[in-house]
Order: sequence, then structure tokens, then C-alpha cells
Amino acid sequence: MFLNEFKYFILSTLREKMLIRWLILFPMLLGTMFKLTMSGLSEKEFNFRAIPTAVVLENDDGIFRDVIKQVSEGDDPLLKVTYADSEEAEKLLKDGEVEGIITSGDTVSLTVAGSDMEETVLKAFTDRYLTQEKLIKDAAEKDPASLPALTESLTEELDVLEEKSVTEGVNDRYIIYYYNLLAMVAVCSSVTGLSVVTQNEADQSPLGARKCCSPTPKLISTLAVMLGCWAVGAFCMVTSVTFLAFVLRVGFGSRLGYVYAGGILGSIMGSSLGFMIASLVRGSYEKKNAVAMTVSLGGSFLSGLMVGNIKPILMEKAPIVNTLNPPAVICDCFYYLNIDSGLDRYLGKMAEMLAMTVVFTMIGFVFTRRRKYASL
Amino acid sequence: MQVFKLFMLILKKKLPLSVTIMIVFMLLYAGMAFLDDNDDKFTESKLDIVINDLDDTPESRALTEFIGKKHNIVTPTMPLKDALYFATVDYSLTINKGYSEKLTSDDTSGMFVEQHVYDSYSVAYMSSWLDEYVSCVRACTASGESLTDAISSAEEAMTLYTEVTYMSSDAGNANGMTSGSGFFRYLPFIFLSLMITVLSSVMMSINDKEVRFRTNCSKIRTTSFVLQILAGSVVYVLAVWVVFMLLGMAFSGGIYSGTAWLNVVNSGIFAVISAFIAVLISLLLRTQASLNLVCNTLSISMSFLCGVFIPQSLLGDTVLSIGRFFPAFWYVKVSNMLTGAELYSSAKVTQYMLIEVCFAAAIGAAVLLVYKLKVRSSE
Repeated sequence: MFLNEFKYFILSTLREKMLIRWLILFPMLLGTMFKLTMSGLSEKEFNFRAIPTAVVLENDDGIFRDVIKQVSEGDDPLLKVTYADSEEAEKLLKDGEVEGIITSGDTVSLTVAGSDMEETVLKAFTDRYLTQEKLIKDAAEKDPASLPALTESLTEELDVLEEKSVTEGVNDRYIIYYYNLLAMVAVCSSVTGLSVVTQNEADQSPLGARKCCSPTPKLISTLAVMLGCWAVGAFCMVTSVTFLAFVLRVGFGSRLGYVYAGGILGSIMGSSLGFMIASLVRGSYEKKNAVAMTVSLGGSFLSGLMVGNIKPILMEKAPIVNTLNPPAVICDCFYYLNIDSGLDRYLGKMAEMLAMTVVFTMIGFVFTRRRKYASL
Repeated sequence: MQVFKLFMLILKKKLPLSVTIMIVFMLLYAGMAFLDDNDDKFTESKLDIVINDLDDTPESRALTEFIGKKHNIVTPTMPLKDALYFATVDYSLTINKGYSEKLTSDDTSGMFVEQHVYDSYSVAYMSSWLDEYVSCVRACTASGESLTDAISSAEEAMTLYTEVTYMSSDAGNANGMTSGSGFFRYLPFIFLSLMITVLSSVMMSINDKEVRFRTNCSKIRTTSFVLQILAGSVVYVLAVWVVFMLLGMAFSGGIYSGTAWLNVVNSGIFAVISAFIAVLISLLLRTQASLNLVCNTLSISMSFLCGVFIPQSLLGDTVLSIGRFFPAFWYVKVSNMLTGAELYSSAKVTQYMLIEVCFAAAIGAAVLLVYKLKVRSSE
């Protein structure tokens, strides 16, 4: 009987068009949108590029011209320079063609039209020029004999910094959106989890009423539907991960097997969440569905599916939300897999998901057991 | 006015959903509006830096103190790699053991270790700044000063700041990546969600086959029926639009002025487009069950492709080419000009708004066509 129920539950669920649309097609569409709009976005948004700058030379200062030449040439130039007169430079700034105007007259001055990091870097550059100029002037006044040593030291190439990488995984902040997308697929599996109650309770559906009359023990029937839910959720998740990894070529790193494992456990947790919600919320299927969708999408919002910045804010201000919010737990699981070289934190999140699955399932069983009906 | 009353009756049932969506968006707006600031003077960006001083000498402490005068030295509330990844910390600097000795020796390699996620402007800035600091201290020691005096002289020289003039420019914001995130930028997504979820649903209930057949049997003429539905739709669209315009006023702290009124007109045109789209969907869909999915698919796709969620300046050419075929693209173009993300040109604003009006007319014509075909098929 168990296998029969299990088989027919899976077949009937997979024939539900809405389920296929929401749990398979919608994530595919959303993933495609993410891919279309976010590929290369991190580099565009965060990576340093030579800053377009207009340079106005009021006095023909050879030293300043040399300095500008030095920083605007080579492999990693700081500035992308356009020499202009002041009127032309102002027009370039107004048109947004340059970030700032560096004017070399009696002293070096800067004109900007914003307060972003680019303008700050420009100011740091001009500050540095003024600093060196001051040091040379001071030394010339105090002890002219020390000038050669000082200038030699100022022009010396230094290598003071060593870089240590933060992660060996994918260095793309926007990949969090894909993790959240998978988390959404997992928690939206809660909609299938509702069936564990609605298909087994006599007051929920005609099928439930028929099942209550049948000789199959309720535990067997519930377990069969429950496992069926887990299987359907896992199928949807595997489809989504495969689509993201092999069709959209989202960089999940070299540990794709662990991504599948995390996703499957997440979808099982999502189905169990649905089972718990259906057992706790009294009333129609629509009511249970509304609560499940609210919990799933609300949790996804708090995990950063809609506004990516919400995750770090909660990590700082209310870490407990991230610990208890199922989509955030799933998202963190993928995130730790990417950022850490070890598996400690990933396994910690997997254990948390497992614990949540057990708790949700237990609550579901407790609130659906021993139901008796006066009439069917 | 029987049909109008029926329209309002069904709308009333959908109102809680509409109000919920509005409240959620308003709360989101409240958060976003406070992030969107426009200064009229230049302020140097301050970085959040984590410093790990392994050297722990007077020289390393002096450096830490000096960095603290220009930037915020923070202690992360989460693991450092997470803080760097999520940019709650901009830069992590470790002052290696032996820093003070290396200040005066020939070998300066490995004085510091830096950690960051991207080779960003902040990283370029800090690398250059540290280089400058060490260079100045070494120059002062080379000129005969003691290390303590050299540090003081270097710090004094490094507090000499360039005179910065701030020029107000319409394109000033365009230089920044996060600009254009005004109140109006997100309205296409909200209007589409609100119109499709509520208006389509009401229209589908009214145009339900059985209801439609009963209405056809009644004495109400088709023209009157259509006009009453139109009146009901206008009331709803107007109500939604007015609520958001009032909200915009609340966030901007007063009545709109100058070119901000163009934003109001622009959003009005888009509200009409959204309503037409909603009506078209209601005519094309067979069941209400798939309405939510269509709503999400359409509103999210259009928002992603047209630059509602991600600024158009960051989108690739292919995406922008596809986006041109959607009205939201032209809406965002106008909004960008009015919020300073693109250079303002009244001719272009008019041109883009006219394109939106053409979209409205085209979708409106499609609605009439589909409606006529449906009416004929039901007759």
C-alpha cells in the first residue's frame, strides 16, 4: 500500500501544472533574468578602472605634466586624462564625461560634481602631490643638503602590501541572488507539503475522506505522501540546480555535488515546513496555501531575494533571524560552501536544516494525529 | 450604473490584497528613500577599515591612529571574510611584525597584508595612501630626521588638503553607479503588480463566461457596459496613482516643484500603460489561478530588462536592446534624466514620453481588438 500511495502521489503532483510552473519554470525564468542582467555586474560596479579626468594646465608646469603622464600610462593607470582649457573641462564635467577637473596653477586644485569614491581617489592623488611638494619645500628651507636623499626616497618604488585572498570560491557578490533563488525553490516546496494534510484529512478534501475510510493505516498513508512530497521537492530542486549550473553556467565552484546535497535537504525541509503549516492552520486549502506562501516569500525577502543588502544588515543587527529563517539557512549553506575552503560551516548549516526538518515533521505529526470525525 | 457597482463590489473584495501590496511597497520605499541622498558639497568618502596590528610598536600605533583620523576603524560583528564579502567592512589591513624596523630599512616588502573582495576604488585608494605614508616617513628619515620626528613631519604634510570646488551638475550623479535610485524608479514594478493582481482579477470575474452571458441577456447595452467598466478602472488606476504621488510628496518633504512634475506625468502615463496591460492579460487568460504567475513573470522580467532593479548604466547591450521593446525602458530613461542619472534634455524627455504614449495606444488598441474578438466569439 505504501508504495502504491507513494507512486500515485508523485504522479498526481507532477501532473499539477501550477506546481511545475511555480517550482520549475518560474525559477528558470528568474534565473535567466538574473543571468542576463547580473553577469559581469560585480566587475562593472566594484572593480577599479582608470578615472576619466580633465587636466587644466594654467602654468606650463613640466613636473606636474610628468606626474600626470606617469599615473595615466602603464598597465594599471590611475587616470584617463583629457587635457583641456578650463571652459572645455567644465563642459566635460557637466556632461558627465569626466569625474573631476585637476587644475594646475599656482597650486593644484580639484573640481568635482559628486562625492563618490572616484572623486575621493582624485583628491587623494592631488593631496599626495601637494604633500610631496610641501616636504620638498620644507627640506629645501631647513637643510638643502638633504634634498637629494629626500627626493630619491620619494621617487623610490615601494612594495609595502601583500594581498591575501578572502575566498578561493566565486568572488561575485551577486551570486547570493542565485543562492536565494534556490532557497526560494526549496521553501516554496512547502506548497507540496500542504498535501500531506489536505490529502489525508477527511475534512480537507474528498480524497482525504476516501482515504479515512480505507483500511490503510493513517501513519502509512501520511508517511507515503510525506516521502512523495520530499521526492517531488527534491526533483524540482535538482532540476533548478542543473538548469543554473549547466544551462546558465552559474559558477557554483568545484563542489557541485555539495550544492545538490544542500538543495535537496533544503527542499525536504521546505516540504516539512508545509506539512507543519498545514497541520497548524485550521481551515481551507486556500488559507493554508496563503500562509505557506507568506512564510516562504517573506522568509525569502528576509534572506535577500528581493533586496540583497538585507542579509548583511540582519547578520549585523539581528543574527537570530538568519539562524531561524529557513530560506536564510539554505542560502547560508550555499554561501559557506563558496566562501570557505573547509566544510565546517556548511555542515553546520546542513545539521541545522536537518534539525529543522525533524522539528517541522514532528510538529506536523503531533497536530494531525488521532483526528476523529463524527460523519464523513 | 449596475456594472460600475458590480465592478466596485468585486474591487472591494480585492481591496485587502491591494492594500497589503501597497503597505509592503511603502515600507520598502521608506527604507530605500533614506538611502537616496544627494549632497550639494563634496565630502570625502570614509572607509570602514579593520586593522590588525601585529607589530604593536609606537610607530604602528601612530599609523593606526592616523588612519583613524581619516576613516572609521571598526571591529566586525561577524567573521571578517563575511564582513568583507558583504561589504560591511571595506578593507582589512594587517600591520605585520617588523613594520617599524622596515620603515628605515631597504626592504619594505610585506609591511602590510591587505584583504578585500574586489580591486575596487577603495582598495586602490588605500593602497596608494599606505604607499604615500611609508614613502613620506622614509623620505623624512632620509633627510636626517629621527623616526618619531619623521612620522610627525609625514603626518603633518599629509594633512595638507587640496582645495576642492563642488560644481552642481545634472550629470554629477551619472558618474556614480548607484544614482537614479529615486522614488519614481521602482514605480513600474509596483504599478504592474498592483494593476495585474487586482484589476485583471476584477476584469476576469466580470468577463467570466457565465456572468458575461447573463449580462448579454440583460437590457444593458454593450457601449454602456464597456463605459461603466472603463469608469471603474479609471477610478482604481487614479486612486493607486494618487496614493503613490502623495507618498512621493511625503518622502520628498513637500509639493513637487520644477522638473519633478514631469516625473508625476511620466508615472501617470505608465499607470495607464499598466492598466491596459492588466486588462489585456485578463482577456487573454482563461483562469485566475495563473494570474499570480503571469503577474510575477511579467513585472519581474520587465523590471530586470528595463533597468528598474539594476541601473541601465550597468546593464549589458543585449539586455538594453531587448529592454527597448518594453514601455518600462522608456519610463526609466525619463526617470533617470529627472533624477540626475542621465543628462537632462527636455527634447529627449518629450520624445521618450511620446514613445510611452505610443505604447499605451498600441496596447489599448490590442485590448479593443481582443475584446471585440471575445465578444464576437461569445455571441
